[in-house]
Amino acid sequence: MTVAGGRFRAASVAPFLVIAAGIGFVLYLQAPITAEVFFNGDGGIKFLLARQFASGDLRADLHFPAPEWARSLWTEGLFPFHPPFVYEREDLRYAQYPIYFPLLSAPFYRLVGLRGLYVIPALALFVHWLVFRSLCARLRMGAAAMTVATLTLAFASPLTLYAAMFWEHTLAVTLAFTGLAAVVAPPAGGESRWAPLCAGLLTGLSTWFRPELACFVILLAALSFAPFNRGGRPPWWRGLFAGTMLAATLASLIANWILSGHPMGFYRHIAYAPGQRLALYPESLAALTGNLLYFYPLVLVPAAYLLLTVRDPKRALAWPFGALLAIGILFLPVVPLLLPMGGGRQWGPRYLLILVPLVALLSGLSAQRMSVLLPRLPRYLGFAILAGAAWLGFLRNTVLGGDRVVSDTESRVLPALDYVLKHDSEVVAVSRQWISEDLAAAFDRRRFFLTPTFADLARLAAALGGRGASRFLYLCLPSEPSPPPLVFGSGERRGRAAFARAGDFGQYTIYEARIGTAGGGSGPAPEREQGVLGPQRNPAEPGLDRTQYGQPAREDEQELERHVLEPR
Amino acid sequence: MRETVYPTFADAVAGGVVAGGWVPDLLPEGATDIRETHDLDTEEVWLRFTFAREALPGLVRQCTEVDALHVSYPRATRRLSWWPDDLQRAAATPATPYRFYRCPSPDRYPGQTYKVAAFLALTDDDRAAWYWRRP
Repeated sequence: MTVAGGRFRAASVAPFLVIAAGIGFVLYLQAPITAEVFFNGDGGIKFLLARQFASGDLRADLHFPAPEWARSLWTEGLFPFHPPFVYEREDLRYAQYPIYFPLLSAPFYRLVGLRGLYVIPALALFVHWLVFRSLCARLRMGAAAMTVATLTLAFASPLTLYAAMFWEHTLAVTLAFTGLAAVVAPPAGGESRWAPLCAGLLTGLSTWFRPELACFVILLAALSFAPFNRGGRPPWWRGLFAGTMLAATLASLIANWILSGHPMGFYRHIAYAPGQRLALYPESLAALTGNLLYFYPLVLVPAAYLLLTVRDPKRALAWPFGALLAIGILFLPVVPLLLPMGGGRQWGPRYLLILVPLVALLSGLSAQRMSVLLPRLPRYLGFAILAGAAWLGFLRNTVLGGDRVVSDTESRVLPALDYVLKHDSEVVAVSRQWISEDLAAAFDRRRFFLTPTFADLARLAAALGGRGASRFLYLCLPSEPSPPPLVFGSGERRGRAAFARAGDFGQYTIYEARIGTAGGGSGPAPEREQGVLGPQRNPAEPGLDRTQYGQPAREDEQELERHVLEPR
Repeated sequence: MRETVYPTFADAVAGGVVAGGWVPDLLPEGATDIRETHDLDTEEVWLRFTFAREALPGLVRQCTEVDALHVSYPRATRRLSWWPDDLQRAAATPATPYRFYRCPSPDRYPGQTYKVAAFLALTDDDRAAWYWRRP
């Protein structure tokens, strides 16, 4: 077998074996998922929408059934979500995310429950791998090069891990890549007149799920008409493809505008002034690029190939290598202009995931062409760089990433969710909306309230005390201060809330709050006005005042690392 | 996340952190020893700076003094050597040396009732101030 040849029939089976192994890996990653806990808090809100749709409620706004007293507290500012995750519009609350992914996931959730949430992320990736292999074949890539490309795509990239996360990224990448595959190389046996319409529609649909792919769509439209395009498509085909793709993209902007009042939807960055956007650009670009290099070192392979073939650039950049490279190079710096941020809690730069198959394809082409264009020594050097980058990508994604995804599923949120669901308190207060997102699975059985200040916490305790409730839970980050005993109200209605630290459960610290009457209750709390809340100086009930000020907080670095996964 | 030190406010402006929205424009122009850390994704800011006493009225002019219980405390401060531990415990300390102010923050979400919370902490016997933004 040679890299370029693919002489043995058995060798052509190898990419399918890689895909089969990849499917096994994805199933391994999904196996430990036993509850609706997600790698990123975004998943919590999307899950709430999916569950809402699955129940037959197809309203686009996010709403939960709740008694009047809870709704009243929410209206007064204790609603568990706020921007940038949930926005108010005309007295309704909308998630910032497009509704389409939860909408597509809802039937699967209704049919098979929890596992149904992961059907689309996994199936989309499997289809993507098949489309990728098919494109490699259409580009006449040899079996070995095709196997290398598929192997790096499945096991040396961060994309595979997203098949075990309730996220739309694999679906969006699959849709967008389908268009690229159609433009770059037509199928050998010809295709129907509907093909450009289907390819354009699928590619345009990718922007319904990921807004940054609008940049990719524009680049692809330009590529389809580029004079150097050697894809062999007639002008009518290119026109239909680009027209359908751009129309589908335009439709997504219109749909966003109808739902949110802005063509880009409810994203916080739409409020950034151009000056601020530019000021944030270098840091955002550095974050995305750094993440790309760290999590997907294979991006170095096309660069190394270009250096090694510098004496013969015409052959080195021959179709489609140069065009694919240009798309990648142009896409990368545009994204941080559109989304001036790093991507939050993620594995690898999720805004750049469309570059993963692009680079895998370039790596496969590099491997194939190096064996033809280069003499022995530079060729071996090129192969060594490819092997090293692939090995590093494998270690960082399949080994470390796989372990991280599994341990995250089991230990980041699940312990806190279990505690909340087993505890008999109906009410859960949280210090940050991230916690509400992570515990979204409990929203149908518990009432959540966001209490960023201790005054908010006391306000909640007062409302609950007024209803005769005696207990609730409070969750915060380990590095946040413990709640002090709180007094509220005055005279007959003077009450007190004391907090006992139950412990750290995964990423969060949980306190059990007890509401009682204030001890020694004569007159209002010292130096506090009526109705204003203050820390109780002398907690009366022994055993309740177990708040541990000055407790050795867990290392902040550990907490930060949990929040944003970045290369160190 | 990254931490940067700017000797003066002018250096912070030149460094782009004012235009980027990380260092608020409420800082006195004479502010010195500005230590700034932020999170690009969450938009959190942790800031410490020193200022001349005479700049105090201007510093707090746009802010409202609040009780320690009405403060949203920042997370992850142990990694910041310049963040005082006792500030985090102010709500539970009867004689806390800190005075807290809630300050305006950039209107990231036009038309929304929610505004990102930003706070300033000062002490009477220190020229240092601590500022944080806590989404």
